[in-house]
Amino acid sequence: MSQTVKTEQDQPIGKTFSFMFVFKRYPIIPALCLLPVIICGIFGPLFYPHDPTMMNLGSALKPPAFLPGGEFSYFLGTDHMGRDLLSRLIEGARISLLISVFGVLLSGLIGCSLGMLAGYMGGKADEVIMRVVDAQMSIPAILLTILLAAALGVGVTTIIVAISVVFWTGYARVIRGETVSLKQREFVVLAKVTGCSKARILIRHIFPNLISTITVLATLQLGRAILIEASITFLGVGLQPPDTAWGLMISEGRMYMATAWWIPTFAGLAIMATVLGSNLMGDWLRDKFDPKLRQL
Amino acid sequence: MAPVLEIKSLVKHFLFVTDGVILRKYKMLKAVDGVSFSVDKGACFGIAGESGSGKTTISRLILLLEKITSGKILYEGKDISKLARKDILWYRMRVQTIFQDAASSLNPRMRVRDIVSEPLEVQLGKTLTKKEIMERTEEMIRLVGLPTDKLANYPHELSGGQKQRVAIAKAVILHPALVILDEPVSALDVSIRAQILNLLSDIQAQQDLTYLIIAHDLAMLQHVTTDIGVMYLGKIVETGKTENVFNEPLHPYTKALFAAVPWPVPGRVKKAPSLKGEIGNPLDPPSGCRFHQRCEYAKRICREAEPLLVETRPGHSVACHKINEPLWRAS
Amino acid sequence: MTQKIILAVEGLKTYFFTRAGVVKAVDGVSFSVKEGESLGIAGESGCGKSITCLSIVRLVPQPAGRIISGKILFEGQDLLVKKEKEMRQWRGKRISMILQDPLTSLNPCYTIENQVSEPYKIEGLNNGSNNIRKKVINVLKRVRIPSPERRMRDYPFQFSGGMRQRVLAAIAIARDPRLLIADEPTTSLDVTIQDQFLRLLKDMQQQTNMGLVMITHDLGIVAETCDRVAIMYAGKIVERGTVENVFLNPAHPYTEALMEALPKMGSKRKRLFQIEGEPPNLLRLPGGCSFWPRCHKAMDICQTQSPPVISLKNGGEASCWLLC
Repeated sequence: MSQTVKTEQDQPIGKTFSFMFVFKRYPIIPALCLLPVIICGIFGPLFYPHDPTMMNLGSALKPPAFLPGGEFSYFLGTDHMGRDLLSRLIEGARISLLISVFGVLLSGLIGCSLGMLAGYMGGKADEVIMRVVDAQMSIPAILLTILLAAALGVGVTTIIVAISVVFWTGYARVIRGETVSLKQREFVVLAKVTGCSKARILIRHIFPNLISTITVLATLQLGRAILIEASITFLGVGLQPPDTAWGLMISEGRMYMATAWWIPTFAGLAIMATVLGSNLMGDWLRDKFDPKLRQL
Repeated sequence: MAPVLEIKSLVKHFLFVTDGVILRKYKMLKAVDGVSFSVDKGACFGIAGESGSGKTTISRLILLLEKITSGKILYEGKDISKLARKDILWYRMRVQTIFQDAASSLNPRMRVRDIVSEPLEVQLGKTLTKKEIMERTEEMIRLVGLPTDKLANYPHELSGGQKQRVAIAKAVILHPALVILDEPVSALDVSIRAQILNLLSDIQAQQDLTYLIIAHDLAMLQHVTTDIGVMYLGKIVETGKTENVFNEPLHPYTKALFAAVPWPVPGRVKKAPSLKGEIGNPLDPPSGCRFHQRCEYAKRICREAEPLLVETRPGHSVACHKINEPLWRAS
Repeated sequence: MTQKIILAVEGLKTYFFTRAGVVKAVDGVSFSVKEGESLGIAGESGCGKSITCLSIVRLVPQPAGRIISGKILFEGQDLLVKKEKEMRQWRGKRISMILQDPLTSLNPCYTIENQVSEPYKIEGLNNGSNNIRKKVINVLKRVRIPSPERRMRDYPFQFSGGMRQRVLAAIAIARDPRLLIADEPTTSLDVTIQDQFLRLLKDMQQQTNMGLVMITHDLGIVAETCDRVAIMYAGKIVERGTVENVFLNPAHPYTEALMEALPKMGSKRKRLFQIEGEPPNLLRLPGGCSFWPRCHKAMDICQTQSPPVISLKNGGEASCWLLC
C-alpha cells in the first residue's frame, strides 16, 4: 500500500521545484544584466559599429532605428554631435568597468587589511581605526568624492583613488566584525596553542574564512562605485568631454531631453542595469555562501 | 613520580561592568579561586564539575590563553607565566589541547592534510623537509584510525567522529607531554564515544602522554581517569585517586553529584533526594563554604568559615567542615 | 488494571525529498503509549527519533519532509487525516511538547507571565486577567518555580537554564494534555539540574496520568524515567520492550553493543567495547539490515534482506535475523 502512495507523490516534487531551483542555483538574472557590460568592457573595440568619438554633424540627433526617421546603422541613434550612441555606450562600459573594478579592489585592499587588524588586535589599534571609520562615514560619500576629485585633479586615476578612499570604511566595518567573531572560534584558539604567529593566524586561518564575505561585499560595492563615478562625472568633476562615460552622456544629453530623449535615457538604463545586476549578484552570492542555506 | 604539572593556589578573576554609564561599577567574577593540584607524569587527571564551576578557565590558564591573577602554574618545575618568548614556543610544543566541538576546532577552509601538518610546519618547519612532514602526517592519520585518502578532504566532508580523530592527530603530532582534553567526547554519539575513548587511551599508552580531562560526564571520568578533582564555584571541593573518590565520596556535593547521574541500569531506586537549588552566582558567591546553601548538613560554621582542602586519608582530600572540623559537631 | 492506549503509531514513514535523493528519516515505525506510561525513544543522532515525534504532531519541516504512510492513532482517531485547522486545536491541548533548547524556545521580548498565559488565552479564557493570572501562578507552582508571583514578571534572560526549562514545562502542561512529548529535555542542563527536572517530570506525570514520550540519546535517562523503551537505528525501531528486558537482556546486537559501549558508574576502569564504523548515511543505506556493516554477528542473509519484526517471549519485539 505504501509503495503506491510513494511513487505517486515522488514524481511531481522533482518537476515543480526544478524551475525554481534553476533560478536559485544559477544567477541567471544578475548574469543577464552584468555579462553584456563585462563583454563590452573587455572586447568593446572589436565590435563598435562606429568610432565612438567620431563626430558627424550631418547625422546629428538621429533617433534610434525603431523610431520613424531612424537609421539601422545608428541602432540607438546619435547625439548632438552625430556620434553613434551604441558605440559610445560600449566605450562607456569600458571606463565604468575599469574605474569601478579598480576602485573596489583598492578600497577592498585597504578596508580588509585595516578591518582585520582592528578586529584581531583589538585595544588601541581597534579604537583608532574604527573611530576614523565612524568619522568618515558621517560625511556624505558623494560630497567627499567631489572634494577629493576636485583636490586631486580630474582623470581616471583620481576617480579610482577617490572611490577607494570613500569605500574602504564599508569593508573595514564588516571585516572587523567578522574577524572578532572568527578570533573566538576554536580553530583560531588552537592555532595559538600550536604556536602560530599572529601573521600566520591572520593569513592562514582568518583570511580564508573571510573570502566569501569579501566577495559579496565587493560585488555590492561594484554597483555603488559605478553610481558614484556616474554621479561625479555628471556633476562635472569626474571625467571630462573627450572621454566617453555614461555619466558624461547623461550630462551632455540632458539639454536635449525634450527633443532627443534617447541620448540620456540609454546611458541611464545602462547604469541601472549594471547596478541592479551587481546588487542581485551580491545577494545571490550571499545566499550561496550562507552556511545555513548551503546545507540544504 | 615527578609531577608534570603543578598548580599552586591558582586564582583567576574577571572584571565585569555591572552598572553605571559614567561612573562604572565593576564586580569581580571569581572564576577560579585558589585551586591547587598536581598531575603526575603518565597520569590521567580529571576535573569534574557543572557549568560555571571554573573548570574550563583552568584549562585556558594552562594554555596561556588568559593571564593569571595570582598563584602559579608550574610545568616541569618552570613557572609558565615567566617564560621568555622562545620558551613559550617550546611550551606550546609540549602542551596541546583537544576541544569538545571538533567541527569548530578545524578550520573549514583547510584540508585535513594542512590541518594535521600545521603544528609540524610551525614548530619544526625549519628542520624537517616537506617530505618528512608529509610522512609524519600520514603516519599520524593512520594512527588515529583514518584512511590516508581523507587527507585531501575538507572538514565538512567528515563525520563527527572522524573530525574528532583529526583533532586528536593534530594535537599529538608534535609528541607533546601534556594534552588537555576539554569535554572530548560529549558532542559524540554513544557508539563513537567508545571508539574515541579507546583511541585516546591507546595513544596515551603508546606515546607516554599525560592527560588532563575536563568533563561533566562522571561515568566517563570514572572510566578513564586515575586521579580526579571535583570543582564547585571556582574551588576544588574534593580530590584524590579516582577509585577512592568514586568508591567513597566524602563531600556532600560529590555525593549529590554522583547520585544525580542517571545510570543505565533499570530499577535502581534513588535514595538521596535531588540536590536543591542551583549553582550560586560566581559574581556574588556565598560566604564561607560555597556549597552551604544547597547542603543538607550546613551549620553556622559553614556560613562563616571557608573550609580548607585537607587530606583525610592517603590520596583523598576534602574541603568540608563536616568531615574535617570538630567544630562542626560542636556547633 | 488495563490502561487505555493513548497513542498508537503504526507503520509510520516520513521521508525527506532532497535534491540529493530521498532520505528515509522514519521508515516504518510502530509503537504505542498507554495512559500514565512513559516510553523512551533512544538512539544516536540522525536515527529519526526527533522526526518521529514531529510527525506525531504533524510538524515535519515542509516542503521537503512528508509523511508518506502509516497511521497515528491518538485516542482512537487518526491524526494524519485531520485538517490542519483541527490539528492546531489538538496541539497543546491534547498533545504537548518540550524541546531541547530552553534558551531559544522562549521569546526574549515577553515576560514569563505573558508566555505562560498564552495557552489559556488560546483556550479562549476571558481576559479578566485575574483569572488567568491565578492559573499562571498555579501552573508555575506545579513546576516548582519558587515565588511564582514575583518571578512571573521577569523576562527569560533573568532565569537560569533549569528554571527556563521548568517554564517550558509549565507552558506544556498548562492545558492538561493527555500526552507529553519531551525531546531531549535535559541535554543542555547540568546533572544536578537534570536530576531535579526529571523528577519533576515524573511527578507531573503521576499526578495527571498522562502519557510521556521521552526522546533521548542518554540511556541512563531512559533507565531512570521510562517504563518501556524503543531503540532506533537508521529510521527503524530495532528493538522495543520494557526497560528491564531491553537493558538487562538485549535481543538485538545493536542494543547489546550499546549497553556494552557505555561507560557505567560503579564499574572498573577497563577498555570499552566499541562498535566499529559510524551510523550510515540515510541517503545511502546498506542493503538488507541497516546495521549489518557494524554488526559483529552479521550473517550473509543480513546483507541482502531486511529482517522481520520478531515477537520475543518476554513481550518485546526486535528485528534481527538472529532471532528467527
